[in-house]
Amino acid sequence: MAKKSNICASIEGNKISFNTRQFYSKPPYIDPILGVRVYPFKLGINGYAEISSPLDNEAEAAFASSMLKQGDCVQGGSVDGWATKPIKSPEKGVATGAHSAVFGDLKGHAYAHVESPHRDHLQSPDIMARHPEIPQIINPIYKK
Amino acid sequence: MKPVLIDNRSPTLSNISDAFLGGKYQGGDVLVRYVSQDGAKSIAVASTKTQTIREGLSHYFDNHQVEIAILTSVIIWQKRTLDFQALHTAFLLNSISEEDFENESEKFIIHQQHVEPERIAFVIDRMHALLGFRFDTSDYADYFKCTQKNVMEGLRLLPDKHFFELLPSEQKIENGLA
Repeated sequence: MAKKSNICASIEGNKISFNTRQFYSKPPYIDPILGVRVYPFKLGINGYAEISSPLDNEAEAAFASSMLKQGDCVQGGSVDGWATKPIKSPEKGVATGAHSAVFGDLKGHAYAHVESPHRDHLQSPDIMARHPEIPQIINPIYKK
Repeated sequence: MKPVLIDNRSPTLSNISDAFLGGKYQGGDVLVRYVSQDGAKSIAVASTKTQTIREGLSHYFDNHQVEIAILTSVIIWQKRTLDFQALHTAFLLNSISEEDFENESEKFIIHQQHVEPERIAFVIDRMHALLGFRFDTSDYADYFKCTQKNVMEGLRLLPDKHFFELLPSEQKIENGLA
């Protein structure tokens, strides 16, 4: 079970669970690798995504470097990705003592990718200097 | 020499350009500026070639045309995003079925294309200067209708550290997106 939070770390699975404080859906496009319609999304403010159910066939992964095992996860200040099935309603739940978050699932062939690292990491020049790629706070949910 | 009257009673940028500054420029075609700083006691006179002024105005005008085009494209992009999100919200609220949502989504589908990295860098740089904030790489990919890899090719051409932060470090480039 691998956990990553560096820019461009990614996971792919048949079902990916996520939590976030900002959920954006974006207009669909035809994925050039899969050749099918995908529904993109973005998780803002410390998004977290984890493979709940792996791909039936690992050879179907769109990106060679995606993590593919059940439980593999990524976290970032901003996490984007897509799912081949429409993204259904995330639900609000208890997260940290200070914040609620929304929890949801991506179904079909789903992909999540870190596009910017953890916000606190970005805001600290000192941490950035010492650990340019590895802000390890892997979510659930900020290790209460 | 008989003077030629140029009607410029209600000057705008366009009729300054077209009427007042129109035509070909001879060697002696100059604009003269009179500045009175202390009533009628003294007058400072300055002159410059009309062509220099015309070229400056044209450059200024062209720059603004580019900026207006970028801002217009951002508004159109955001309207498309809002329209899609309204549709998605209707689906999330069970106002429409999954099948209806998929059918209605058809009109929003884009086919990604390759965009020259130099163009990406130019537009992102100008957009940031105009708006004062930056978007994420996935947002830029949606705006340009291209892949994030393509966006990163453009971002690498920009010296600003805010854009550099959006890129993975070189040792992490094994990912298909980098």
